[in-house]
Amino acid sequence: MKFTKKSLFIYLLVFNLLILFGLFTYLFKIESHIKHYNTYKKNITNLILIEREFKHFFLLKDQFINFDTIVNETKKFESNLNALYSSNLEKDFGSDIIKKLNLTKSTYEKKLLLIEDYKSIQASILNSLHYLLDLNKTIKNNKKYDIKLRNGVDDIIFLILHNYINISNDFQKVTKKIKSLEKKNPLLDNNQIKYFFIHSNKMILLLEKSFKITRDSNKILLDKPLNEMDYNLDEIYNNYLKQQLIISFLFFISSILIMLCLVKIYLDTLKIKDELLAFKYAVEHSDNSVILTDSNRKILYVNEIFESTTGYLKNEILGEDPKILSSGLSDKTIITDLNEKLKEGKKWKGELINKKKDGTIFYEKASIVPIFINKKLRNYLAIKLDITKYIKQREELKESSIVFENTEEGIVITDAKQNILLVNQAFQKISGYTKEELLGNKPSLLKSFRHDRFFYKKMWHNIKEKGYWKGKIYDQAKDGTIIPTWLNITAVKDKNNKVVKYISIHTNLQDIIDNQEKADYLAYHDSLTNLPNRIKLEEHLAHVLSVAKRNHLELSILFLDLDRFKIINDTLGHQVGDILLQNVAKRIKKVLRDIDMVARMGGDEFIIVLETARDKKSAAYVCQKILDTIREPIKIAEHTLNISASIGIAMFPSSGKNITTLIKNADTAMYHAKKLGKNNYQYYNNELSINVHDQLKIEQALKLALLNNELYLNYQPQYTLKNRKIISFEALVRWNSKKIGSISPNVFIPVAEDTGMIIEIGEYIFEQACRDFIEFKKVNKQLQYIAINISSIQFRDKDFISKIKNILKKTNILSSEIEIEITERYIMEFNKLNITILEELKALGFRMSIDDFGTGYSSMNYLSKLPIDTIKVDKSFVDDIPIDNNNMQISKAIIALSKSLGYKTVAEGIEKKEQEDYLLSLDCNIGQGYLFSKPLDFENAIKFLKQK
Amino acid sequence: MIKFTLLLIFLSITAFPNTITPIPNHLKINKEKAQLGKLLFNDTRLSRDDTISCASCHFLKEGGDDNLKVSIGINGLKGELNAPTVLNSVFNFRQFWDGRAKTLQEQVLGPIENPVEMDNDFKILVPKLKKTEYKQLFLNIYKEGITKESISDAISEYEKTLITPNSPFDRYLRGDKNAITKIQKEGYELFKEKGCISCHHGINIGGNLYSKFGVMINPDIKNLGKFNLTNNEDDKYSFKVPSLRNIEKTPPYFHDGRVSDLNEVVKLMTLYQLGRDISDAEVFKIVEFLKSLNGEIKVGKE
Repeated sequence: MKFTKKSLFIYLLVFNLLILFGLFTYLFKIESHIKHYNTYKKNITNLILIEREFKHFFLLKDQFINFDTIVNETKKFESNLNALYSSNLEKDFGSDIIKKLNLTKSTYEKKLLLIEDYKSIQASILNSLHYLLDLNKTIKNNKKYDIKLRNGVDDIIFLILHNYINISNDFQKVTKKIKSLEKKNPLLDNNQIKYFFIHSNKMILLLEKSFKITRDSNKILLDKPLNEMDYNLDEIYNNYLKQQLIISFLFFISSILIMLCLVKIYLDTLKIKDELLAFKYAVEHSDNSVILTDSNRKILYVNEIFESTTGYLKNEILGEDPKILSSGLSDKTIITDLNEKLKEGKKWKGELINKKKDGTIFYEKASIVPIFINKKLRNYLAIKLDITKYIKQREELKESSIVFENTEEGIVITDAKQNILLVNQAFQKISGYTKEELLGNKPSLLKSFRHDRFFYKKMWHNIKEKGYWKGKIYDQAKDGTIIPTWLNITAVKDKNNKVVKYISIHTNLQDIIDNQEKADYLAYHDSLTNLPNRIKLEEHLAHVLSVAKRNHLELSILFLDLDRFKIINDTLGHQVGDILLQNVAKRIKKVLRDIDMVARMGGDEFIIVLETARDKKSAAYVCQKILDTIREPIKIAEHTLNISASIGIAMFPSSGKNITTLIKNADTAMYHAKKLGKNNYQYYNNELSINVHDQLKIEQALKLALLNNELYLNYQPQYTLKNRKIISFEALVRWNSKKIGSISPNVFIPVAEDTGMIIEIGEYIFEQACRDFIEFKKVNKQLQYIAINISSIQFRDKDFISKIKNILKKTNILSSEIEIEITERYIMEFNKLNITILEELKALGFRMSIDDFGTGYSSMNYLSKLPIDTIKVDKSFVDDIPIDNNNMQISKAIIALSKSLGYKTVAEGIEKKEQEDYLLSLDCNIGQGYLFSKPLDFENAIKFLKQK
Repeated sequence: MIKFTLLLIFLSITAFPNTITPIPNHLKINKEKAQLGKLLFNDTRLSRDDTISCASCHFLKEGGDDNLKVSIGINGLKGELNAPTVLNSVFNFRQFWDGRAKTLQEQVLGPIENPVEMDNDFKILVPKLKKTEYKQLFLNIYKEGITKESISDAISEYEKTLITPNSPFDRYLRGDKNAITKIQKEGYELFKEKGCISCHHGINIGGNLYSKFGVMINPDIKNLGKFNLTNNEDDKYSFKVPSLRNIEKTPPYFHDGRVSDLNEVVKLMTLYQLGRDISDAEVFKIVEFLKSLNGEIKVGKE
């Protein structure tokens, strides 16, 4: 509608312009017609003026005329006529006027003839008149002529003049008079008279002619066609002017119309402009990015949102392809669809994943429209909305719903009246109800009736006051199962603080409870034997002790260690060991009463708390029962194992008042039992451990020992079993205190270790041994090395290595001439630092040996990795040879193992020949013991060497 | 009687004022056309047999005519009338003795097609000239090239240059009182008194009216003059009054060249036209005056 209206105006405008053009053309034509009006008018006016000259000319008979004047007039007349003829007069003013012009011309030609005649006659008349007047004077005054003649001449001339000046017109009378005078005076021989008559006669004729010409001239009306022509010209001219006026008026009307059209169009344009401005404003302030491109997809315009969304500034992006935004992440089918749609000239709508200037990815909902103007593709318009936030929210929501559906927690959403609106999968699983059963129902469906109404009242009060409630509650599932639940109810409020929804989260505590129990169990129990572990034991013991303390009761703590378990583990494998431990655990448990506790401390060590054994007797009874039950052969796979245990007993409160002391003392007692030959139990007593008083005495004495040179070394020879040749000495420290007498190393070494004095003592031993060895070597070249015991405490000394190096320097002994003996227990404290030091020593060239092998529980695994050369079989294994079959087997196994690892084997404590022989038969390398030599002091050692 | 006397006084005062005007030194002309016209004027190719040119009968150095009684045209044919001078012809109100041509351009056409003069035909002449150098010469000036009109226009333009200014009498008229002799001055007075001036006046001293040959006394005459054009009885023996400029140089005189002596001419004219006596002394003075009408002929200068 708008379009047609608009085009109507345009048509009107064009129509008016055409009219204007027509009018202008016509006007121009008129203008060209009247352009020469002035010339024509001038020409005609000239003609009229000249015509008046002509008229005047015919009146001039009494004066001399320069005919050049009249000739000029006629020539002017003719040139004006010719000018009119050669002009566009006919075209401009019509043929009527030409007819008049033709008439003028023909009339003029007639008149011209008269003018020419008149000229001739005029000249003659004037000439004759002049001469007649001359003659008149001459004749009148000439007395020789008759008076009558003289009067007659005068009379005739007078009459002629009369006629000449038109006073009279009686030519006949004059002629008569001339004739009569001629008759009376036939003086033809007189020239004067003769010429008089000729002239007067001629004069009359000429005058008659002149008058006739004048009359004829008056009849030839040249002015009439001229005036008519003039009038005609003016009339047509005025007509033209009138037409001009009309055309001007039409021009004016047309112009007004055009102006109105233009004004209308202008107003429309203004309106459109306003609309466009409004659109522009809308586009610029839209929340949508707006991009306008040309048909080649080069950006022509972007709005501010585009800039803020993409980070591209207008002037950066203009002329670019919108592809610059492409992240390449959009689905290819989407891009294909987009291009196809646009190619077909259709609108495309969809989501794009684009890239900002800084590389950030964002999501856009875009609609792209090709714009056609007059069926020609002009632009593309893209309107895009950044929906990244929405997409993110959607994803979050999706995640939330995934969480909602997949969480372990049951979630129930109700309205303000507690009607269930929504439940998740977990809740259905927990409650046993299906969604359909739950929706519309109230959560009270799950009430277990384990809580009274005050509980619920309090709960709802809390929700009302604080907006939430959480706590443990028992629900009842559909099948009647009671579900311990951690419930969290939150009231969802609207803006007006009015509750619209409740969200309750149900955490099923059953599993948690189960898991907690399991975890607790695991934390407090040994997984292998299911016995309480050390933690549980200590907890239990703490409790038991406190009860015992309060009630002044006694109780006994047993420390049980299996004998030679390590050997079984190493030779038969861990699995056998593990099963053995499980069996042992069961057997012990079977012996005990319920309230007694057996706990596994790790390895093959067990602690037993006997609440029931309140005195030594009953404890001994239990111990014996335990030992008996353990001693029963155990069959594991194809092996039948005979195992025994050693037990140490500590009594509360006599053997210790706290857990640590009790356990430690029980342990000490257990060792005592082991020393007493295993498979027995021993009570702890003060003699077993050095009492505090003795220890202090020893400590103080030991401090003086080095100063007073109370320490000295003994050397026990080591010899090859094959040919009984001495190859080395083991250095053994001895103390003969001036204050407290001779003290066994078994007593003072632990004190030295406890106080740290072992470092100084060890250094003394090392140096002294080295010096002595040099002396020994001088006596007997067979001697290969000297074995020196190093306490694990010494290794803790940072300067240990440098001290040793120093001694080597001082004494000129080679490192290869020293064998460092370390205890198996130290090896079991196996850690990186230890290994590092051992490797360091080995690297320095020392020989390394493990002392007391078989008493600890070093794993074969570790053994193979240790940098050692020699294994010393513990004395206890040698003692029973050849009586104890079991120990013989063990020593045999140790020697075989040692050999297989490439180590040398030293057997300690060989006292009997049979022992020596047996060991030799096992291919043990080296022996040491009373059989060969007891430990010797320096002097005796020299003597011994000399003998050998 | 008073009236009569007044008339007489009036007549005597106004009878013969000084109505001769001098020739201007130059006329406004188109020089290129005039130059072309000059070529044509002297070119015999204008005649049918290439024998006669305009200059054949109009010797510019000798008064602008051929000094013959009647001219000799093509093949020796003789014309009927004495050839008028071409000099100052531009100032004549008509051309030819009988004034049949109103303009010079009309006049030019006459001799070219006259059988006893050049005996040509423009239908022949135009193509003929187009084969010559004139073709380009005309095209340089006339876009239509050679036509009857352009030929006559060029020649007539040339003829406008053939004027004879600065005659002693013109100088006298312009204020040089010594330009003419006393006798010539007396001759001029007689010229006026006798009435010669009534016909011979104006710029060309004649040449501006027709007059009957023998107004007062009939001479012996054969040519009917203007009557040939008009068939009007009154026009019998009427001829264009000829110019008196360079009259001394253009004998023989009258339309038929009947008299060669200027004195005789003056005498005859006094008798025929004025119908009065004149003494020899008066004739002498008038002839002397007439000799002061010889102007400068600029032949070859243009």
